[in-house]
Amino acid sequence: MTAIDDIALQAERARIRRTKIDRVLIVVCTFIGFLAVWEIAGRLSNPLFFAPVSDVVREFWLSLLDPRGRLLNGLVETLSVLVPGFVIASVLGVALGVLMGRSNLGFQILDPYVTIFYNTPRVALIPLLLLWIGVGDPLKIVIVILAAIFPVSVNTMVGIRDVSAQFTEPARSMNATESQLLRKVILPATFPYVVAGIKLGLGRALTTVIVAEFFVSVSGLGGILQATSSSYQMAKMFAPVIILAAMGVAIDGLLTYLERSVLRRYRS
Amino acid sequence: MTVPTVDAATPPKLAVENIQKTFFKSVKDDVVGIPVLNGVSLSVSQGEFVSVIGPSGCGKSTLLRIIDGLIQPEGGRVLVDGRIVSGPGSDRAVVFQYFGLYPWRSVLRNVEFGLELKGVPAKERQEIALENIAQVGLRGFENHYPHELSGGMRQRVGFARALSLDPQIILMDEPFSSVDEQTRELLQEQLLELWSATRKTILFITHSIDEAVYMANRVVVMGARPGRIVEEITVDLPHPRTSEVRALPRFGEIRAHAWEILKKGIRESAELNAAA
Repeated sequence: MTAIDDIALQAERARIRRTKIDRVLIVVCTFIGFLAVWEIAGRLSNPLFFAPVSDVVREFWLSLLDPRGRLLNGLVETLSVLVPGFVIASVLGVALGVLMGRSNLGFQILDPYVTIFYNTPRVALIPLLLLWIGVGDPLKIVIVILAAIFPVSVNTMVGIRDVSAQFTEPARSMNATESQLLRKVILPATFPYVVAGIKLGLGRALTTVIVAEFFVSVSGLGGILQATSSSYQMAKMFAPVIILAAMGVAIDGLLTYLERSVLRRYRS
Repeated sequence: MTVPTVDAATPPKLAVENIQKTFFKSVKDDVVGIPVLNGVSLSVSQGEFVSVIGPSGCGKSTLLRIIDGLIQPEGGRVLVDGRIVSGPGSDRAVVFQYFGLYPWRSVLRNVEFGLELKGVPAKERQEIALENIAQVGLRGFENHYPHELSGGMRQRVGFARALSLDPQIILMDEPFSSVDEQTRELLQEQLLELWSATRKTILFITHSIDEAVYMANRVVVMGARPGRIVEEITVDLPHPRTSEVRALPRFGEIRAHAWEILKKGIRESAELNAAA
């Protein structure tokens, strides 16, 4: 490498480093600005309707430090319906999607109902289910299942129907049985669709469980939101919001990571 | 049509007898039948390398799928060693134009796939797969995924997968048409080496006259609408086929002859279409 090349290389490295620093600076500065505006607005406004960020952070920190506190219990309660409900919804959703994707009869029978449910706002069913199932965890689990199952099944079905002959033909040529074809070719080929369905379903499940808790829970995250806001405890009210935001971002990050690492292979 | 004479006592490795195939297509409220293959017969002996060329739409890929058992014909039959073919079987393997690899499987697991379907124990199928990966020159790429490989390498994985099943007949459906020119020549050489090392019977579909003549002992020329065999040309070029063979006057003669027949077939089908 000549001296001139070397100088150019150093300059390019310096340029890339500067762009990186600039990017971090922009993010940090705007975030500090955002907190400052929040703090000032919080101090100037009526404490019944808004709280400065310092109070919110203090309340949040205190809630986190208290292992028997209301916030962590609320989180556990919400997760204890969200997780099982979502697992059931994913398994049933994939099964339903396979049935509709693989069997024309299954598709013809089920498609109208799935379309109706998929497009009905799930929260509209809460009062009805409340009447049928009553207040309690089973209600919330049913709501989560109803929220998440249809995006998963519709995506699975579309994925299965879209599996290219370029995947099925080689397997058939190598004498695959119908069961091998489904397990080793069609389901793996549908995986990206299932992940997309799960992403959509999780978002819906999270929303729906919080709304359900407005109605029936005093101790879940939705219940805490409802209770603190109706008693004008603004600083406390933000704690579940922060947790929910963090959960949403974490779920999205996890699924994005999955997409980048595994699903990368599917694009060629 | 010339059909090679075969000893009556030993049936040919592959016999295709009077195949008829029609595709059905919905037109408005009705269904129409489009004849794709009309009375195709072909005989291939053990260890032969036969190329099939023809204008696009002549049904050469359909013929290959019927021989593999992926598609059932409306009439006629396919026999391997005198036994009637009713579906795919381990005596035949296909190398696809589109490679047919599974993107979620590594090279090793792609090559193992057919053995896995047959229920071969994990250790044994890995041994067989590794051996064939080495044979196609992909040692060191066992744990790569298809998206990390070039087109030529992907097709070599396709070869290795076909070889792993140890078929007697390899059916190749325009295997090199989606790779670039230089890669294609390298793959052609590699296939000829594999062929002379293994003495498999190969039916090789291509749209390149040059490739058809260069690779095969015999070139089958098909005509279109409906697909049928127009002529079979014996390729009396020396082995091994190297790039010098392409420079021989005889190579040019055979290629010119094949092109004449192909052109005649295309003209005839145009006339048939005009008459219809």
